[in-house]
Amino acid sequence: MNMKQLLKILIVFSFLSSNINAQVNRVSASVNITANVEQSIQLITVNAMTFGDIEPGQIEIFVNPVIDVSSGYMIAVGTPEAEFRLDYLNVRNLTNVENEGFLTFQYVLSGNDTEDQASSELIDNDNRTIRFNNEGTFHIWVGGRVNLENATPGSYEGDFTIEIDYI
Amino acid sequence: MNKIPQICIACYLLFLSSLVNAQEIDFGTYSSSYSMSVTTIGNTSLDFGMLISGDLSPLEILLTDVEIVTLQITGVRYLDVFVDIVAPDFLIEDAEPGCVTNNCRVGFTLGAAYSNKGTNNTSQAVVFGFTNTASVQFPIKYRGNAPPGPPPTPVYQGYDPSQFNEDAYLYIYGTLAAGTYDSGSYTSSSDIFVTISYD
Repeated sequence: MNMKQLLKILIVFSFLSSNINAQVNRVSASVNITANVEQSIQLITVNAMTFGDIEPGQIEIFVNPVIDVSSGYMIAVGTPEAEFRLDYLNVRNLTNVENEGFLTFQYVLSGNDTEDQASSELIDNDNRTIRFNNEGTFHIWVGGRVNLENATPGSYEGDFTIEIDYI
Repeated sequence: MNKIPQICIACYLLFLSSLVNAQEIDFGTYSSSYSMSVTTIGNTSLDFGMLISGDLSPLEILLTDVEIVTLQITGVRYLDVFVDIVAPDFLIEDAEPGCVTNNCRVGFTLGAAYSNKGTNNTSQAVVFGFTNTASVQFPIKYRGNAPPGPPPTPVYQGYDPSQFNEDAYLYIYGTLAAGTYDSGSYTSSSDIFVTISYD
């Protein structure tokens, strides 16, 4: 065997051995990642609801959130055009801070995507899925009804819980 | 006698011996004869849903959550596989594809685990991915503390690979960093890329 023959054998052998190592069975997959970023929702109370003076013998107070200026007024701020669900407990107890006793208050809400109370619509169980306007705001007016027939004299206080979540 | 050929052979053998790993039989050399496949079960993308900007808590998809992506690996049960995963560091706001600032990109941290006990069950999974570049080696079929099995059955005429196949499962999940971001849809700057090969 001369030098040239030997080198040919070595070169061919080297090529074959490296080729075997290159034949590796390999599979792959790719996974996409997605998310939607929404702005956190803020609820700004602009005006609290007031009842004004109660006349002697008056048995009910009703604050109409669509027409009464004594309605509470809140602004919800979030992601423009995003849909959200609004939930609240529409019956709450107002506690007499001086004596025993309480009043049962039934809240009534109306809402509008513009700052116009008169054209706001009542928010009930059927239309609690709402959308922020293109500036990311929604306007809410808070009213309600309370029966005074069995009320004891004194001052009453209570809170109102409203919950807003993106859909 | 001309000694040059003998010297060449001696040098070549010396060179080859330096490449040999002592006491290791690499059946992977023949693994090209065996098939392997990977398929997605259920979710095809890792969808985090809604991330609230300004929220103080990171948004997580945990190993136990239904939002995870499950990859089913079908291969020869007594062979080991190498799994390499490379994940992107950020999700980018779709409206700002060139974004390099933190108001329009969300940091992503990969989570990864595998299960090789024959069932698609995350409670049996072994977590191995804690960073966005993760690698692991495991047998397609768990063998506990037992030594590796016999060499793979050679491919022969009438060979039915399904007789020797088993499924292992790879779980992909992760975390999005809390922060203050612009509103909108976000997508990963590149996909999570998974490569699987026999040892």
